[in-house]
Amino acid sequence: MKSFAITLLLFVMMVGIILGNAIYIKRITSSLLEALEFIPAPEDPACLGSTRDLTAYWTHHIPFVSLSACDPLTERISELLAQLTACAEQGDRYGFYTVRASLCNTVENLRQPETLSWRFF
Amino acid sequence: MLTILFRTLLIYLILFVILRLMGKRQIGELEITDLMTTLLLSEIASLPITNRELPVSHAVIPMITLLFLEVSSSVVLIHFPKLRGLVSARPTVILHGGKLRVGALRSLRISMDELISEIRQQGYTSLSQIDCAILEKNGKLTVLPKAEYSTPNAADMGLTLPKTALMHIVFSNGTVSKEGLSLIGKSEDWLMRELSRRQLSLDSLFCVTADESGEIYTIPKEKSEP
Repeated sequence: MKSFAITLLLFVMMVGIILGNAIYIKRITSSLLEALEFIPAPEDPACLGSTRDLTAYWTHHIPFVSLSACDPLTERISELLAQLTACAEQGDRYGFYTVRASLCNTVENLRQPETLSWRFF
Repeated sequence: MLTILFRTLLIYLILFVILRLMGKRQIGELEITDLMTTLLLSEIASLPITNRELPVSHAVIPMITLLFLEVSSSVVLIHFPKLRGLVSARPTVILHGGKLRVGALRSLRISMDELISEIRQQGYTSLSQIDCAILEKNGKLTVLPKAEYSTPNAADMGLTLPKTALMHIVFSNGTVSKEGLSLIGKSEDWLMRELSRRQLSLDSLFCVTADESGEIYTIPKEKSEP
């Protein structure tokens, strides 16, 4: 019974961590998607600042997100954010919106494993 | 992580159904749940070791989930023995009173060749020598021979044999084993007395075993050992 109690405690703790992580990932991805949706157009002088803020926000959360997400996914988001900043610097409108769409898609991919969906079964 | 948790639960359930349907022939000496856990753990544990891109959590979550399922299923089975029939197979009588139960053999998918081979391995040459054969839930065949083919034992011959006592390690690697001494109902003082009676010291010994009757067996250290 002692081993069962320890196992149960371990399992409950793990479920707690999983649920906490799911909420955390959902919050991060929602913030990213919301920021990407309302990001100013590349012609707007505020655009570059917004992309840099977004990159700083993501960089701050990478160590925690990496605990549950696969490396290629987090690396892809970092890469796309760098591309988005570069497009904003150069005023590349077409490139900016293409990268933004790609980024939204990748962030969505990060969020989906933490939301219960039949797709993942 | 949430998806991994539910995927592990689902895979465990599917694997359980598959192994249960396979029957006891596939199980060997393990219970179904033990086998499932062994199969899954060996694969899961190696994932983050071989694949650097996967976070360690992708292996830790399934491992803890499997541990929980394994331990909790055994606890549930202790408290609800009626459920045991769902999890483990029941022993099946294949041969009774010297008569072969063909239906049982067919349902277990055991051929006559396999049955005869099993019986041969247990030291019998013909089915006619067997009174009863039972396929146990761990997949092993228990064979009970007819009385005339049974090996006589001491009781059959009216012999009284001395009681065999189990030896326990009471001293090993320079340490006296209190657990070993308590198992034979003796104390450390008793051990010291016995050794001094034999003019031996613990420093000169590698290992000492003893049984309940006080019988001692000593293994001296090799000369090169410090």
